[in-house]
Amino acid sequence: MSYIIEYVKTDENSLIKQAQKGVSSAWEELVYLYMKDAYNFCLKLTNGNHNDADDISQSAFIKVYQNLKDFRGDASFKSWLYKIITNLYINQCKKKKPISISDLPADATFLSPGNERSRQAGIKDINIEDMAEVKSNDNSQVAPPLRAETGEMTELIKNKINLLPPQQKAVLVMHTYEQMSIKDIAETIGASYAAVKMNLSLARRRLLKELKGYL
Amino acid sequence: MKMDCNEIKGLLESYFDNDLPDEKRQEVEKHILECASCKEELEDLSRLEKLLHSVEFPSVSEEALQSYPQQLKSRLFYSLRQKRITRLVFTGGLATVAASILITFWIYLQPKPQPEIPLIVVEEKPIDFVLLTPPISDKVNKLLTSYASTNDESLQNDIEKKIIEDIGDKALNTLVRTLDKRFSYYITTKENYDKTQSLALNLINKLIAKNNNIAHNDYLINTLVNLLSEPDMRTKSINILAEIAEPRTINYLIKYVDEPNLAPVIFAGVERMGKSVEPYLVRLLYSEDEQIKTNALRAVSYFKIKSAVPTLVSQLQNRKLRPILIETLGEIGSPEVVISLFELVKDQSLKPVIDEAIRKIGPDCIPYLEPYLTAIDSGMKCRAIELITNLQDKKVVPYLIAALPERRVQQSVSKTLQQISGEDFGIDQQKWRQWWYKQTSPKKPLDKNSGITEPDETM
Repeated sequence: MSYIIEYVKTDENSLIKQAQKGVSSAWEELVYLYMKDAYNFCLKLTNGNHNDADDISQSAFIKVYQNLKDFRGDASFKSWLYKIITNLYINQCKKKKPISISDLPADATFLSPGNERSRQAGIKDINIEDMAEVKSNDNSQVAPPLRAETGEMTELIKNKINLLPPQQKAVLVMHTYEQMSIKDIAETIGASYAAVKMNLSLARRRLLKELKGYL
Repeated sequence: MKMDCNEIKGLLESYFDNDLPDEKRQEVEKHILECASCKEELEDLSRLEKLLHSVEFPSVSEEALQSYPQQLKSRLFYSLRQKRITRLVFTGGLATVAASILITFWIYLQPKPQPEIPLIVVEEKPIDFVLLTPPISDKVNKLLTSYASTNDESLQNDIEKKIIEDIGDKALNTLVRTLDKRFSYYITTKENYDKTQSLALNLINKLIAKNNNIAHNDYLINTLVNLLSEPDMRTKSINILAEIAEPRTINYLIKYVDEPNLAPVIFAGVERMGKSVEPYLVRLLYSEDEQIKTNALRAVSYFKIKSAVPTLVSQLQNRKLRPILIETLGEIGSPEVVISLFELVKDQSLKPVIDEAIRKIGPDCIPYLEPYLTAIDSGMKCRAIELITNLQDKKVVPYLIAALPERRVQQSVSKTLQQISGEDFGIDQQKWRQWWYKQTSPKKPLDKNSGITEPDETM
């Protein structure tokens, strides 16, 4: 049985070639194919900020449109798109002032494990059950159970990731949440293998330090 | 050589990422069994990874994605426009300096500036296709697929009915996309392509017949315009475009006016477009494409578009087009063009067309010809007399009688007078005058016969 509108799954390369020839519908198809991935990737980079994700992903697609002729196909289209997104994100971070503690959500401060005193102060503000749980965890020698399912813990981790320098954050997000290998990340952001590894390692060390009490 | 704890610590992350050669890997594994601190560090890494994986980031909702292409489209348009404006401002700045120098020279060199024909750029290309296609409906797609894959007529009829009645207007965008040539490279067989295209055209026609409001859709109009280049689809597309009657499409429809079967449909469409199409048609008269220009002239002449007269007159300088321009001016029938036409009377080759045009304009042009009837230049005078002779109208009689002494035209004038009046006074101006006087003077209330009958009635 043949299909008319059930389009044959055209491979990426032919779409790109068509788009490079100026067939804007092919560019359109690329947008349709990747808009979800691109948007979600941006959401991770921007800590779930829809406005920023919208802005960065759209700017990236416009850059794709403008520079499609220069795309040589050395890496995959997705890598190229992610590279553009990462660069846009890093540039945006440079433009924005560094995030101060007061910008963080309230619960992020009282759950900060690095500072035992503030943590104690924070616990006073949350309900008795939570307090009991934390206390019992503190008393036991085993690692406390993961509590990411509770909203506060998720928020805490997200905030810690968000405080990483942009380069480290981008590498961590790609590695952990986009399941990309170090080699792929290096190709995507146009950095050396060693540089990606270094960034990933720095990000992990920092998070290990910051989240030590919750591991 | 056995590695120490610090060296192993440096390799732990690579071990964790599965990024070590076998030899070193084994060494790390061996070390971990013995060293609690390194083991703890590795476990920390693993716990951190688990903790990070347990976090879920929000993902974009399908609803939000629906409006995404539209927003992207507007942003792209905006950015392209900004780019163009920047370029214009930059090149515009340079151009202004250059132009002011040139203009100064030009004014200096030209004692009398020549009047110029206004330059109007005709839009030859369809609206730019940066437009993103609207979202398509899977339901309609599936129905179209089943239609193409079956030869069972009753099933096909059912599908048509379902699309028209159940889905209705919402099916339009998907149907249009079927016709969109930009997506043809996706489609597997030519036969199925033709079949669905033809079905889509039929269905669109029916949908529009049902609800004309949906027709003014740029995507639909652009796609139909692009189909015009395909001979198989042309007639149907023209039918729909004529039904939609969007004035902007005249640029494309006009190309097919010389095809006898399409002309009536196109002209019906143009008629539906009404007055708003006139400026578009007039612009086409400036087209550099001879065929488009000639066809536009045909339309202007068919609809007697008076607003085209100044353009037509200004183009009379073009020798090649003169005959058809004069013919068109005659069809439109604006008497004031006679003055412009009369400037061309010395060109003998144009004689038949000018005669015909003036005959079509009719007696309204007499006031404009009158000055020439008493011209000193006898050539011009005779030509003017000849022209009014051609009118064969009672209104020209006094002018003809006045022209009788002119020897060169005497015979033809007298002949025309005979034809108009049914009388024959030869070339005797005096007799013709008396006759005309009798014709125009008020009739006496009673003649001899009526005088006799009146008493009869009283008897």
